[in-house]
Amino acid sequence: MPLKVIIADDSIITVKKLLVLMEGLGHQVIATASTGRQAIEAYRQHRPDLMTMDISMPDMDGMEATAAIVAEFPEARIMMVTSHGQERMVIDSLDAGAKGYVLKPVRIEKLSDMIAKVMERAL
Amino acid sequence: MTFNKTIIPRVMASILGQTREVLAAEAVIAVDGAETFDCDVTKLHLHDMTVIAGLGGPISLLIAFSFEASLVEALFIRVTADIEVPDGEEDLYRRETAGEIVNTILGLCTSDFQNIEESIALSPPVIIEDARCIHRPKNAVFANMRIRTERGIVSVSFVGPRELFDDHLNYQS
Repeated sequence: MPLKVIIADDSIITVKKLLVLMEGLGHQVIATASTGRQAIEAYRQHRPDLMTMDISMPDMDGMEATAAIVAEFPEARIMMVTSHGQERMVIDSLDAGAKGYVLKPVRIEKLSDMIAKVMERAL
Repeated sequence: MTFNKTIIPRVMASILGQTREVLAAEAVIAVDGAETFDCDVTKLHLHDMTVIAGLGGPISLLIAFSFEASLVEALFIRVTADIEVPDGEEDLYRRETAGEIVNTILGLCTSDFQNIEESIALSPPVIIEDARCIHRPKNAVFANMRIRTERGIVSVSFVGPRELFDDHLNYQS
């Protein structure tokens, strides 16, 4: 089933690449955000099926934004998409409420597998 | 302040390895070799385009990747091959490409420091395009690594302790 997706990332390149990949998987990108605060606002406004979240972003990082969104919407399905490979950071992200974690560089198979896991975990 | 300059060689080795991986995976560009200049460096030369980001926690370093224009161009062409670059925005996308490559390299480097229990924060990349020379203040440590690729050189500078400089490598006395 096609998902309504928001992409939160401060890199134009990553946003465009994820958009192409998401559309390739049949999903619809309904909004993008380039800061943590924008991500929270976009989530409130659109209530997506899935949100991808970068960690390093200006004004508020992706971890804080994830915690804030999950506090307000416990059912939120947020998947970190980041280059940050430290295991501690993965654990902190899951503690903040993320349902999945994809390491850059993102490939379509890796993205598709993690989306399936995130949607399954949310059931 | 948690800075300890003995970590610099380990960070250098990690960056060299991840640069090799990321340039090959993202742009099919091979690294030919590298020379390292350790903590005796007294000044840093920044080239055509420089991307600066900070690694926090116990690493506490600002790391500046200074790219030759030929390498930026090669990266830009490969990285944006599958996305639309609007007319007139090529320079913006060149900067974004350099920023994203550095962000990916440094992010992946944190996986080489799994034994550090504290989270290693990574600051968003700052991009500067003015070539300049930075002299080392007495209380700072500079180190440098020159990575040669088949498409040009990227010079990686290590500046610590991080707190002594702002995100644009200006000294904060």
